[in-house]
Amino acid sequence: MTRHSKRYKYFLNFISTKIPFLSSFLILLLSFVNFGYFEAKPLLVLIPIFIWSMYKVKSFDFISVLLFAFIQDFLDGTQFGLNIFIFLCLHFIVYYQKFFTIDSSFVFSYLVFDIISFILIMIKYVIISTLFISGINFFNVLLSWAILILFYPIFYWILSLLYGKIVGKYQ
Amino acid sequence: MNKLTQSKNVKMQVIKQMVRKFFLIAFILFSFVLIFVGKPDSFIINKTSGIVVQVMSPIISIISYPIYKVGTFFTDAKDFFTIREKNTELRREISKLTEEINYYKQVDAENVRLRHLTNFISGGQNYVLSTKVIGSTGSGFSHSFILDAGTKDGVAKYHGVLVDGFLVGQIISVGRNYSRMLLITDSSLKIPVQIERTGTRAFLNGDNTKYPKLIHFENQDPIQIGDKVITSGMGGNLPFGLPIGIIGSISEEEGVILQPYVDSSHVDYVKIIKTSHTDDIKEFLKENPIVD
Repeated sequence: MTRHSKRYKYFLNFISTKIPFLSSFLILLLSFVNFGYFEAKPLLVLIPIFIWSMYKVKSFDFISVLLFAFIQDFLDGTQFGLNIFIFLCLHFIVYYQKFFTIDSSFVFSYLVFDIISFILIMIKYVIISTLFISGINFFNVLLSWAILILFYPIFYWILSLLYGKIVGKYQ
Repeated sequence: MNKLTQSKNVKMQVIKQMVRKFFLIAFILFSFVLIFVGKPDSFIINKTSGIVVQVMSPIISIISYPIYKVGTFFTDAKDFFTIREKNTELRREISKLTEEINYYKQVDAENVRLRHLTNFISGGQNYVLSTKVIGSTGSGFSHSFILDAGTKDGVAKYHGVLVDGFLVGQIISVGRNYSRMLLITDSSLKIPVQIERTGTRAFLNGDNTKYPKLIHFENQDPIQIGDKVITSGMGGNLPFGLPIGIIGSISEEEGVILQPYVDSSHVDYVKIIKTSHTDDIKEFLKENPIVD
């Protein structure tokens, strides 16, 4: 029995280190599924990067964020380096801020995410508009941000649950 | 001794944190510089992009499968209620098609006989490959598809991609089994085109909306709303004459806007043109004439 529980604990410990990376990876790839309508697809992977950086999970360091940014950059087709810059900025701002912690309320974290993601998406918009002659449609960018913040509560609930039950408990 | 070890550990932690912070800031600065000086067409980026597409595509394909199945389940459920009407319609269609098949059988037999007489070698269809769309990117910043065909199928960079005989995009990176294409609506893709009626050359450039723009007109020949736009064949990447769309609107503020023949947002299958020579696909173009 003790041996079993030890093994189980070891397994949970192992899983807890992998969950942040795997969940983010899954959400990243979810952005590439062909749903049909793609003019304003949200950049969903910003949510797990924000949440895991907020929880300051040890196993989710900037190398993971860098890897996701590389994948996004190569699959996305936008200017190379743009997603690396955006993702790392998000991780840096959230990881090294002192204003809110894991104990912050959902509403507060939601507001912070809305503001940071808006600023970063606007930076991305300005950079792309500067680089390409015809620019890109502002309304679509705004719409994709609006869809992103609509998805935040769902992913927040799932990832917080994972954190509370496994990641935070066993890591 | 214990206190000494503890303070040593704390020191190590602080140093680790500082190193981490330093590298993070260095990467942020490096990526910012890379955006402006990095060449998107460089060999290393192209090669790595092909590898990433090759590795990620099967996983995206697996994730897409249940979502695709859920989607088809709802479509099937909707079809169930109109099954009787559809059945009658299909029976009518079958009898009409049977007549057509008989006619085509006669034409085919005649065709074979004539080809034999003239020693004609058919090659047109070898340059056209049908494939499935397994993923798409979006976020308002880019419009691209991941396709289920790669170098092993003869696909190469800059090959044209068609839907129903109309150009919808161009291959931008290729892996062994998968490739990635940019749609004509993407802001980073520029396609040399010409107005079919006047022969005026221009570039087609998207802005990530459904309606790309025509820019850099060669001369001031008058163009009209409704004019057909085709590929000009300039640059040597795409064959001449692939239909793209018609001029949708002309205004001072917006410029010349193209209305593509195909709405790419609901595309599941595409055709890749594996050549840049118009002669290779003459037969294919004849079979897919522009519909007004």
